[in-house]
Order: sequence, then structure tokens, then C-alpha cells
Amino acid sequence: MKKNKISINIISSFNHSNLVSLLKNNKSYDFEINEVNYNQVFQVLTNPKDKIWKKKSNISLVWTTPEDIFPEFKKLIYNKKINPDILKEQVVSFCSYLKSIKKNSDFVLIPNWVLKQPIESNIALGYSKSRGLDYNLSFINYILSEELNSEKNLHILNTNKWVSNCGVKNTYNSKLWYLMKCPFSNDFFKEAISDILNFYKSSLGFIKKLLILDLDDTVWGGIVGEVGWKKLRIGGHDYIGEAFHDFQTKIKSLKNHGILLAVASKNEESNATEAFSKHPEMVLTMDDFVTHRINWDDKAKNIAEMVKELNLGLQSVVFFDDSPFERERVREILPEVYVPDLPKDPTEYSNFLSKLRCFDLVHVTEEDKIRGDLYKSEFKRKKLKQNNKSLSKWIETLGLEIIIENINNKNSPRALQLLNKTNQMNLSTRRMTENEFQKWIQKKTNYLWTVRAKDKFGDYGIIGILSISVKEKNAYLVDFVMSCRVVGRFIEETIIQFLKDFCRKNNIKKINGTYIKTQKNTLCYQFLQKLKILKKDKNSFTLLPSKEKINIPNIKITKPKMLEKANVS
Amino acid sequence: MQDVIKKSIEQLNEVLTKDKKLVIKNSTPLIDEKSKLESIDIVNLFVNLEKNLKEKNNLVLTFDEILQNASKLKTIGSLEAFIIRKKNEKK
Repeated sequence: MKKNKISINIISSFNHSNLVSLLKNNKSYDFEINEVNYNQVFQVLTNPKDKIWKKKSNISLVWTTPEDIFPEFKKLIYNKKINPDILKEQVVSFCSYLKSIKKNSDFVLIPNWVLKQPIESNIALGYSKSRGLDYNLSFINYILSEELNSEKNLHILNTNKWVSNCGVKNTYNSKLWYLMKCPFSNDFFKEAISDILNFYKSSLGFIKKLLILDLDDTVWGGIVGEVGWKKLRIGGHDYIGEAFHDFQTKIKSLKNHGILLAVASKNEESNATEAFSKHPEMVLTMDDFVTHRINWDDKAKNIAEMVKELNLGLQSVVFFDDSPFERERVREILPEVYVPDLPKDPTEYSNFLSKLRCFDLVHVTEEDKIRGDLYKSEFKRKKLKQNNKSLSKWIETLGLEIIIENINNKNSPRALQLLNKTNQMNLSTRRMTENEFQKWIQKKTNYLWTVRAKDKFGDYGIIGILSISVKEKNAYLVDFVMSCRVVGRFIEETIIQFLKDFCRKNNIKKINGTYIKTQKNTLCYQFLQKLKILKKDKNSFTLLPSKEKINIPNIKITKPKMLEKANVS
Repeated sequence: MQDVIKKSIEQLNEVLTKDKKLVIKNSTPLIDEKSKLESIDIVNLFVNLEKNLKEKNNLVLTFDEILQNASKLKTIGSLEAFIIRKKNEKK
């Protein structure tokens, strides 16, 4: 199978040859590696003409150890007193070099600082401000985070997590250090590579969106139908109960980051809902789940139904169940669903979930935080639709309002997320990194708008983007992207009408466009067919702004001022 | 083939490029003119070996010992013979 390519620059203060070899041997990705000899960090960061910057890369990894790059920090190794102000200056200056290279790659990744060899610091002085290694290590990492916090494509990787996963003993190898000047073990590098890959995949929107949970012995201890809700093991003075409590807390935190939750359980529904509503230690409530199937049917069938109902792809689903039988069944019937083997011991559930990493997001948008609520409102809308036979009448009953905004700092993370994650209603399926996106929208001849919608059931959030590139008197429709959960309620027609109005007012005669077919965007093609604008080749089309208006029901629209160019930095 | 040697070579293969990966059999060259390994690979191999021997056999093998016996470690087979001898000496 052809592997995806990732180009990566490696700049480090130690011998990274083992890291390079492990990257080259990666089974899923084909790494194109550009490296400089170790300990050339400052020379490379301060030289914009260095050969490593000749070609823009996907990732630049700048991995240093503090003893090697901060002279003030090095004094601590000799137990000398340091000046915290000088140390801060050195760190800030290093961060300014990092900022200077951000244009050379899509992402700059910086593993936070750990010592290159473990040093047991003096019991009394470890956290002394002027002499303590531990204090100053935390201090420089704090400054690193403060300095890079607002930088969009500079990200700090959590090295301490890798140390924790490997254990200190397996992180370091003194032989490798003294013989090769490589401070870290290969197990440690594997952890790093896993995070680099997860970061990259997440930045492109390849994350899981829905976690489907079994109930008995998965989110609580015991079988509710047998022992009753009062005797379930959740919370209380019981180590298993506490483990389930922590597991539920972790699941709830995923929901707050925009991961949808659902239930697939073989139970009497009344027993399960009673447990959620009555057990005083329950962290999750039925309201946390966007949908559920609590019955005696086949779980694979139930899962497929729920995924269809939510308009998601099976590949964005994770299923948790303590039963190996149920897991195997779902794997067999729905191979796209990710079904990890839960540990046998529930006290390990919480850590297991943390280590999965498939839910890690690079940015958390406002829409992510309320995604569960958005889906719930959607169910209410669908119910209303069933009672209204005419589509236009239903739209009017909804009290739909569409807000079109210029791209700005606030809406750009969500716009990029939509661009990279939307498959079905997507004209060109353009995927971009943050840097590429920023560069594109900065161009004077490019226009990009976000589309937000709300109705009487709630705010949908930003559900679409539209972009054009203007040349002389012609516009080219570059992106027409809409979340499929809102398709079919005249929002897509409204956006097109907005575009026509915009172009007409700005003297643009034609809007050309091309439908780029993928395996998943037939929905977009059907919409273009419905507009009757496709040419004979069935891919290209032209919209004439001056031509008659599209027939749209009564929808309130808020538009930006015409020709206003957003200032996004 | 002893498990520790097999495991150590498998770990080494993880960081070797395709053309350098070692076939696990007695005649595969290690520290020899015919060997494709570079010094950095030899370090990796013996770091793995040292760790695995300590964990599985409680046998301490110092790098100095390896360097002193480098001429006897031409192939995987001779490495195995060397390890067996070290184990017997310990007994």
C-alpha cells in the first residue's frame, strides 16, 4: 500500500540518528527527512539561508536539551547560583528564533525541555529559585509555553508524558549518551514519533468523532438489570467504584472537547436510564449522549443505525465494550469502526482511554465544545419536520437565521477545521495546513466567508465556508463547504445567492467553478445538478450574478459589508 | 538462537535501513569486513544486548569487555558462543 508522505526537518542538540532511522522505518508514513548535524541549533535557526529552509516542509522538529542551549541553565549542573533574569532572557531569545522559522514549515514542533541525563537534585535545593534544577526546568518550560502560546503553528509536545510512559529507567541510556551523544532510548523516540504522527493526523482532521459505549462493566461496575442501580459500583468507598468514576470523568471531558457520546447496550432501557438519573455518584447523564440504543438487538446493527442517524462515517467511530464477544462481533460486521481491546482490569480503563490519542485535537473550537448539544437540537428539528409536510413551511417554522461573516481571527480555526474535515458537501475537497490557509486568505484577490446558522432550537455554530478568487471581472468559486448535518434546509441555496449578490454589487460578471469528484462528495454534485448550472462536461459550471434569483423561503440573513476584506493575522 | 540475542537484533533492525537489516542466522556478519553495520549500529546492538542480558539473565556485560573481544564477534553465531561462555564463567 502506498504510504502518505510527510516532510520533516530535524534540528536537535543531540545525536538524533536513531530517531531518524525509526522515522524512516515507519510503516504508515513515508518520511522525507531533512536533518542538520546535531548541535547546530542556533546556526540553523538564525540563518534563513540555511539549506534546510530551501524547501517548505510539513514539520520542523526543534528538539533541544536545556543544558546545551542555555549557558545560565548549565551553571545549575555545577551547583552554581544563577540569575533567573538572565535565564529568562536566554529562553525568550531562543523562542524568538523559533518564531522566525514558522514560515518554513506547516508546523514547528518543540518537545518541552527535560534533562539529557537524569540528575537526582539535592533534596533541599531542587526547588530553590537560584540553584534548583527542578525549579528552573519548570521555569524555562513555563516561559516556553507563555512565549509560544499565541503562535498558531508552533506547538509544544509533552516530553514529560513520554518519560512517564517509558519510565525514567527506559527513557535514558547512559551508554548511548557517552558513546553516541544520544540521550534517549529508542522506546522514548517511539513515543515521540507516535505523538508527532498523532499531532499531524489531528491537524488534518483525522480524528475520531464518536465514542459509543457499552454500559454494564464498561461505564459502571456490575449488571444493572441484575443488581439494580443502587448496587452498581460507581464512586463511593470502593476502589473499583472510584475507577469507574474516573473513567466516566474522562469520558465527560472528551464530550467537553467536542467528541460525541452514544450508548449501545444490551439492557432494559428503563433500568439504564434509571441508573443514570438516580445513582448519586454517576458522572455521566443521559443528556451527555447524543443518541442511544439500549435494547436486546445486535450491537453492530444498533451502531450502524446510530452512525447513520448522526450522518457520520463509520471510520470516525470508536466502540468501547468490556465483552470480547461484542467487540469481535462489531469488528467483524463493521471493520471501519475502531474497537480497542479494553483492559480486563477496570482500574486501568481511565489511563487506557488517555493513551488512545485518537481523540486528540490540535484546536478546540466553540463548536467542538457544544457539538453534543448541536446534535440534540438537530433531533428536535427532525421531529418538527415530520409534522410539517412542506419543506419551506418547515424552514419557516424553524425561524432559521443565517449569518455570513468575513474570515477573522475568531472564526478562522473553525473555518480551517471545516475545510479539512468536511467530505460530502465539499466542492473541491481542498485540504490545507494552518499556514497555507492563512497565506491564502491574506491574498488580496481571495475572499472567504464563514456561514453560521441558528434557529429556535439553538445555534448550529459555523456550518459552512465559501471562498472565491477574483481575477479581473471574473470570480472562481474555490471552496463551497457545508456540514452535511444542515444540508437540505436552503442554507446552501442562500449561500450561493449571497455570492451572486456580492459579485453583482462588485461588478463581477461571472462566477466559474469546477466540481472535483472524490469518493465522498456526490452530495455536492447533486446540489449542483439541482441548481442546473453544470456544463456538458458535468464538472465545470458558471453562475451569472445578474441572472434571476434562486427561489428561497423566508430566511433571515445577516451579511458582512460588501467588499470588506477581513484582517486575519 | 538464544532469545536475548534474537530480541537484541530485532531491536537493532528497527533502526536499520532496509538494506542493512540483519538476517537472524549464525553466519550473518557483525563486526567483520563483510558486515554492513556502522559503528553507531554496533553501539545500538550492544546497548540492546546489555539491557536484555541484565533483565533476562542477570548477566552484566560491560562495553569494555565487548571492545576487548571485538575480534571474536565476527558473526551472530560467534556472538552467541561468546555469550554462552560468559554465562558459564558466571556459573
